[in-house]
Amino acid sequence: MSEVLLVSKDDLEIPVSYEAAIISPVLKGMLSGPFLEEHPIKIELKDIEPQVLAKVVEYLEYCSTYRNVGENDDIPEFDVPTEMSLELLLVADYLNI
Amino acid sequence: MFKIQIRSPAGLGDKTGSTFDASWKILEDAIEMIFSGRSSELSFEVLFRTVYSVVLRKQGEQLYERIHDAIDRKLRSVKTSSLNVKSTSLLDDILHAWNVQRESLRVISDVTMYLDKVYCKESRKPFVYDMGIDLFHNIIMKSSKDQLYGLIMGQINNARQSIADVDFQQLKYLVEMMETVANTSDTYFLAEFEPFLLRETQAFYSRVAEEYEGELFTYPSTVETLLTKEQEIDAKFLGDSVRLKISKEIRGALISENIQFVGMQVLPSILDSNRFTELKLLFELCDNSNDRKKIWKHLSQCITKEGLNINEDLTLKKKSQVAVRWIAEVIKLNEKYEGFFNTLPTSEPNGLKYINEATSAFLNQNGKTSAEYLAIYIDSMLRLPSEEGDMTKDRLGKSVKVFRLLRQKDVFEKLYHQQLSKRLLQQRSSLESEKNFLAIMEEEAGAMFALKPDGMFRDLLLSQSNNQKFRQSYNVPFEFEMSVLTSTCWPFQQTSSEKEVALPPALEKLKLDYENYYLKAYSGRALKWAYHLGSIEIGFQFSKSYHIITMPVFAAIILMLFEDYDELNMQEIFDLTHIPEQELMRNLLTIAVAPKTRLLKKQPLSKRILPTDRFRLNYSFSAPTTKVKVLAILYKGDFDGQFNPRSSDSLQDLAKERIRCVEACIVRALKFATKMYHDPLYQKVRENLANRFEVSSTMFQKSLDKLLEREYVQRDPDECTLYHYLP
Repeated sequence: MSEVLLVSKDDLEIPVSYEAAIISPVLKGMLSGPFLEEHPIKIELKDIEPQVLAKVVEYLEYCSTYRNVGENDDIPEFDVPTEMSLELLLVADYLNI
Repeated sequence: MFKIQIRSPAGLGDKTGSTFDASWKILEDAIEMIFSGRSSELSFEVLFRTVYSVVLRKQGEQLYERIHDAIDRKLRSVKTSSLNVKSTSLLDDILHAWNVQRESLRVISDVTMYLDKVYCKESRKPFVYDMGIDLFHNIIMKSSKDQLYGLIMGQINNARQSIADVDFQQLKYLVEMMETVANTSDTYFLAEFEPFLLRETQAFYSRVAEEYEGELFTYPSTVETLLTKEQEIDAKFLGDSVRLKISKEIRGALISENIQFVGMQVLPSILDSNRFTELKLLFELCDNSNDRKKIWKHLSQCITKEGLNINEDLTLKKKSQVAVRWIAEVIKLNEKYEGFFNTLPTSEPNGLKYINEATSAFLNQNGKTSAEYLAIYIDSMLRLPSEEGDMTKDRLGKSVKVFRLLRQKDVFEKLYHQQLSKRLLQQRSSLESEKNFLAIMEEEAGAMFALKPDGMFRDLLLSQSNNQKFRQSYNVPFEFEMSVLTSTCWPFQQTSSEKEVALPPALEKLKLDYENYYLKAYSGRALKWAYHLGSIEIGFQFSKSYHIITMPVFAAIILMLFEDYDELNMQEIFDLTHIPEQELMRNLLTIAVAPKTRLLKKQPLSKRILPTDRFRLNYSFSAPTTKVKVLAILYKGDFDGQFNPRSSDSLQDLAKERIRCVEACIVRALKFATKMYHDPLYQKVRENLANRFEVSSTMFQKSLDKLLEREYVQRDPDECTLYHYLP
């Protein structure tokens, strides 16, 4: 269960680690609930543009890497491309991140 | 200037087509599937997206209502189909329904996460999960509440009585269920079930207490067993805080509610059988300070009763033996409870006070007798030969403790002084142990107490050195010791016999010599002779044996008359000696009637002495030892003699002294405050004299009246309860 595949609009599969995925309660619900998604470790999110989903995955990984780091350590800024911000906002809302 | 272009999002969710009803259809089916445990056939993503789109279309409220209704319907059908209120498996059924409900709700709420997040938060509705739980509570639990409670309680009570096997696992699940279900702000368990549980528990144990049939004194340990058992049972399915409450409730039911029973029946029974471990347990079981106070009160009543039950063993011949035994019992009693007190944890700071108060109470119910007995006890302790020093010391220390509890301390003081003086003059105790004891007493009762005894010791020392000097400068034909006593220090009444007693010539000369010597040494002092305190030793060859007889001075004077006369009657003796009639009577009785010391023969033989009775020497006197001690016998009239404060003489003395004390105290208090109202004044006087005796209001009033009469104190002309000090 270490890796989960997120499938975007163009059937592009983006891998994300389980630890990062469960930061989103929605993804967590999908992964842990007794639903269809449980067996193939593949989550279809066909409404989402691939580059946006890639950014989301990047963010999730970023979070899971740094969430347990103490305050004093250096945390690099997370870069959000401006033109993508609205789309990201929407996805974030959807995934409840 | 940059112009940042933000791509407009394409938007998520199914914007096209599908109406609310279509979406709802999907969800409704899904709910149905979830409840029947087939959720693995559903796609989370699809459902989630459906909810998402519905909410996006601002149809959240509708959706929420629909879900609510759907769950509601579902539960009602469960209730009618599978929950039979009268069924014995109701508990199981409820649990089953609960588990299904919980599981389903969890899934549903996962799916409707977006609804919760967007709609519920904004419109302040409970989340879907909580709503479901709430429905469960309203539909299932409310309707079967009575049966549910009844069954649970039945199980618990069965466990308490170890009647049947109890499914604790089930109970545990039920409790969990109730803890999950929320009712307003508290969990259902806290708000509804816990009070019920506590009430029932209380009722159960009240019944246990009512039906208690075991030995009274094992009640505390029975309670403890019940408590541990309950703890064991509760630990299997209840949380900590409830367990604490339950155990409190049980203690309440078994002890607080029954405090009367515990205090009036259990406690005496425990004490009767001396089961102090039970008593200790009882205190440990009482976690309520009020209860403990009540128990202490009962305990102190019991102690008092026990103390009053210590009988003066009147079968013993001598009063001193009675007294010694009685005080020993008192000390034992007090020690017993103090010992018990010391086993208690330190959280009982007042315990000792109660014990001592109880002891004090019965000591004082016995009034002056207690003080008297204590004095006698100490007297006989000090008279013991000093070899047993340590034990005596120990006992004396303990008797000081009794003294501390005594309220009529002045009675004791008076008696102690009297007895001390006797011991000193008759040299019946070692001066050292007397001084030691006095030091202890001084510490306990203050310097005033030791004032007179110190005077006595001083007199004796001085007299000894005077005796030596006297013997050096005068011709002393036989062993002779004088004690010159300062009259204020010694508690004897002055004997002012109108006519000087005629002494035998040898003694008379000695007396004059000593007076001569003393007045030379200390001019300006008057010597008075107190014959009745002295004693004389005479050696005499009786027909069978030689005896050295120690006897009171008066007896010796009488006896020595028979050097010159063969036979005398009482009147003649009186004429020759001028011994006061009372003393004469007494001494004649001593040496002519008392069976063991019959030095004179009396004609006719009878128990009384008449002026015409004739006396002559009893040459046939004999005794088992060479040394014989003649003890002055006491009059029938004041049989108990000067020992006894009940005899009217010393009683009056005492009363007078007390009034003097009260008067002095009033004047002191008023002088300090210039004016005072009646009640505070009374209070103050009481407090000040509390360590000597209790001031009764009549005594106080009497003293005050006297002071008013003698114009030491003036009543305020306007306020009759205000008193002024008159300088």
